[in-house]
Amino acid sequence: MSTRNSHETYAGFELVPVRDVYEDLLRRTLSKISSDLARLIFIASTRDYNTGTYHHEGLASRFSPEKASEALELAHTEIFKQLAAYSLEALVEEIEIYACASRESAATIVRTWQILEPYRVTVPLRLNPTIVHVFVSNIRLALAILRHRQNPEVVDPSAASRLQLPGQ
Amino acid sequence: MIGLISALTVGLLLLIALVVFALRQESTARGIHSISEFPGDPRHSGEFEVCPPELVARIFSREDWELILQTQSPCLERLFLQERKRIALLWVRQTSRDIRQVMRNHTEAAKQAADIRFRTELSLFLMYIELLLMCETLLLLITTVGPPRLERIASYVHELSRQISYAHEAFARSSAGAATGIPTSP
Repeated sequence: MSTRNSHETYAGFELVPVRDVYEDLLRRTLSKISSDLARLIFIASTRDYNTGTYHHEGLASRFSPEKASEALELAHTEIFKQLAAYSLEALVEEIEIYACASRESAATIVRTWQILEPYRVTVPLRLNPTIVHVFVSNIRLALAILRHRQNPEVVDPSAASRLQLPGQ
Repeated sequence: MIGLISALTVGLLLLIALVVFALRQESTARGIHSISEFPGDPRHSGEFEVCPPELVARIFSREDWELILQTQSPCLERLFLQERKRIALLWVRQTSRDIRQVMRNHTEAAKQAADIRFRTELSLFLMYIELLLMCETLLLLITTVGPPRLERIASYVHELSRQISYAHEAFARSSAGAATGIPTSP
């Protein structure tokens, strides 16, 4: 029996559980991205910073904009939690894979991330604050480790993270 | 003369207790302030989510500390200990605060419950006291010994807090079931 037939419809969209939409997102989109960190950055980029809702054209057209947003939020939270529990070594590898895929030099990415801390925009809206603090702190540490590996001569590999930008 | 000394001793003890209480309030307030730095602040969303055990293990991870030691960079070592101490203190304070809230909710639920099992309530209360003492001990150890050596004690505290939360949830479910006459699943 097809599951498609078992679902009711509303406003032209099937009423499917968010889990099904989430599985679809994992299978069709997220599985094609090379690392968990890149997946997190991709999902965070689908979020509207003004409203906190998520948008994904393909997913919204297959299911509904609301279901797509819920599935993206679920995926965002899941992947964020996974990354927060990563060991520092694994997190360093994730940043290296991300840097390779981005075609920018790893050194440039590390320095820029230490100054701008762009990974802070990947924080989900509703999450235990301790998980968020662990993630941000671990990324900061992983960047310092990478900086040290790139240039062991640097006295303080975390120095850039303490630079204050105008307006901060 | 003896009476005067006794009165002074009692007064001194009360003063120390007041100072300790004031310092605790201040440190708790600092903890709350640092929490609200991020959008995931549950006070805005009205939700609470328990920290997963693997995250607690990560905060107190020895594996990460060993990786840092391999770099032989005093700066990295300092940064790591500073970061992990901050997060570990935050986690302990949050756990302590959450469990106090759970016990407040439990007290309210128990006041309205028809049948209270004295032994269950007593064991829950003793677990609560043990957890609070463990949290205080952990706070002290984090600042003195450092998080990488405290993984086992931290996971014990986490397990204890989960047990208390589950016990309260089970009690609340059975009380709600008894009030509506609907049997609750085990």
